[in-house]
Amino acid sequence: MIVSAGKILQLTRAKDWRLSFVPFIIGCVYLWLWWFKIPLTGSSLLLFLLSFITTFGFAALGYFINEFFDKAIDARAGKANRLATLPYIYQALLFIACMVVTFLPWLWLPKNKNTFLLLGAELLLFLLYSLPFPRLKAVPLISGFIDSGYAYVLPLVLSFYTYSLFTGNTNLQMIYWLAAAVFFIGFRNITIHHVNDIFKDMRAHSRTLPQLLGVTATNYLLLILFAQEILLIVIWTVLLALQQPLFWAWLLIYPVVIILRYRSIAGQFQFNFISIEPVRHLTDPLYQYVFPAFTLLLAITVDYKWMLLVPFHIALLLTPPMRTIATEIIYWRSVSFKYAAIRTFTAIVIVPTGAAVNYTIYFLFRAFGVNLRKQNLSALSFIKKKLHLK
Amino acid sequence: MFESTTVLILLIIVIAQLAIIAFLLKAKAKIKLKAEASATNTPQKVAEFYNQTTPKFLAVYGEIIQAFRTTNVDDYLRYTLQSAGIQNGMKIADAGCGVCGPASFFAQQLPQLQISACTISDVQAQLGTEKIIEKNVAAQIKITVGDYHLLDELLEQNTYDRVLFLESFGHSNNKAKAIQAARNVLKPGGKLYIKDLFIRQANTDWEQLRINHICGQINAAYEYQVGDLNEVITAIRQQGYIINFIRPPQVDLNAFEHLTISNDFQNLFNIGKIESWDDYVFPIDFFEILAEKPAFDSEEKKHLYFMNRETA
Repeated sequence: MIVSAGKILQLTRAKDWRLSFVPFIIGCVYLWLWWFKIPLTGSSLLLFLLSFITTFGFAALGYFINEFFDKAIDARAGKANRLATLPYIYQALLFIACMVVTFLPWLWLPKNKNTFLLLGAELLLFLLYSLPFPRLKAVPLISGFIDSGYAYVLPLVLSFYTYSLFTGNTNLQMIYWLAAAVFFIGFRNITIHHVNDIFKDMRAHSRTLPQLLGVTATNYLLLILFAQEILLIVIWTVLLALQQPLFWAWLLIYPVVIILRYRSIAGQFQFNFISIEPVRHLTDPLYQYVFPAFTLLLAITVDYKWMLLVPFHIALLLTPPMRTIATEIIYWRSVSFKYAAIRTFTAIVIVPTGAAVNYTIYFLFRAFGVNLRKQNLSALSFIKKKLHLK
Repeated sequence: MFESTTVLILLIIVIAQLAIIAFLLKAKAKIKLKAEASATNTPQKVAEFYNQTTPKFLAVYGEIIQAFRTTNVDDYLRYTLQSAGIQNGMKIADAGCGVCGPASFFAQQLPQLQISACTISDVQAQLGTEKIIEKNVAAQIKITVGDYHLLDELLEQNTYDRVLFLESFGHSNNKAKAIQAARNVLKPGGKLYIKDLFIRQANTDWEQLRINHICGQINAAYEYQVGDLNEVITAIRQQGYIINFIRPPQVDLNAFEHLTISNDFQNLFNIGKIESWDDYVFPIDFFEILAEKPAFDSEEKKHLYFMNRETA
């Protein structure tokens, strides 16, 4: 039996992570390249490649452990478990492969005792989550915290810490707020995952938070998680932009893309269906596609040679439709894309600028006791009226 | 590596999150999900829908455009005659008659039967007219194009023995109005017969959500508004009908067609197609309802139980 690379990726449910949270973590890595002003050299390229490999390794290992200990339960629930279809010898080989891909890069990656603490914490969370005992994935609230911790927060902290060690600046202050935001992104996504699996989990007598909360309360939870996530990202962006002004651009891009995406899906859902309609992933494409594209651009401002990563990112971390769009953008060859670019420019620059100017004028007049909105007048009409001009 | 600020922030986040979830858990009991699906149908949209799709329905369903049926659809129509208590010499109204498939069958079975068939679709009316001529029952069936919510404006009042809604009632966006219009055309002692699909009630919130969602998709695909049985029964009772029965159509399981035609239709024309059977929850129940317009004057002798009142 020959197990191809594609099959191995399938066995570790790569579809679930390669195009979802891995692009975000790699997007963060691009951000570290910019933040620490790391130029493209042999050692920095090696650093990037090794961190990329270990990110893939961690994701695959996490899913492997999870699937391995879920085999019996999945069988009871009628849930597909690809690992269960594989002979034990191949399961063992796959496990070894995951361990090698995860940990071998750490022979060369920068590290100290804190690194080992973080790596240990990651592994510990994997096991606490999946092992038959204590199997914390079956404990409703705790499972959300742990999943978010090992899939989002710890990889973020670990990658930042590794790059900070590479540059000798180990101040973690820059990512406090981001880590908190990422926790909520993770918590939202595991809640959505539990909603997707709700009937299978019920069949397996596995209790999850959405089961306890019911539909309406889960919808409220998702809304609250969105609010927390967006608020924290905005706070983090402002704090970062105060130190690196180029980052103000993200403060424009982030809300505009959310609004555009919301408008594109707003007509398709009602409150009752938030937990099962596409709106539950409102912000996710931002982290999957827009954020890495933006941070890669930032990295290129440090050293144009980082453009080398563009084809690499497109090939490995984009879905086929997004890959097509990215290619269109790069070659600037699609007329529809040009229109889209103009629309986006209008949305990102013209509309907010216009709104800022209008509100400035409005509040300026309010300061002098004039409410233009109430009088239904533009500033110019008001002045003309006061000066008795036609 | 971590400063006290980090620990503090993380602690606050964890506590805040726990507090929010605790609050939501406490609030959960008060917010139970209802059986209801979104719908945007209007009589105008229903007319447009059937004007466009009737040939497709005919290609798959044949002239009986009903999902719940027996393998031999004539058996089901005979059952309908018996279940609705239709007899020779009666005057009946078929509200939402399609292309007069059932009406022409009934007319052939009962030569003294007079049928007023009502459809909102010009295309269906045209095809129906051709069909009743072809089947030689044109003398028994009169086709009217119009909205059955206004049945009492389209047909003569207080004259009909039966008003039938054969899987057409769900197209109504104002079911109470349709029930009232039917009452106005029924003569005292006449009966309303509804056979339709109704949104299924589930035991858990999440199953109900899936059901509501799927019914919303059905509504969007078919310009429908899958009814809530409780609401329909309430409307029927509020308008003074006497309920004779509410039950699933009483067909033999071996003769049941198992809804394969409706599935074929959905797959063939991509109308309401089920993309994935994974975790699909069957969203509806079929019921038939028979309700009688009282033969007595409802405004008289209100102190008596209906069975103690004299008929007019």
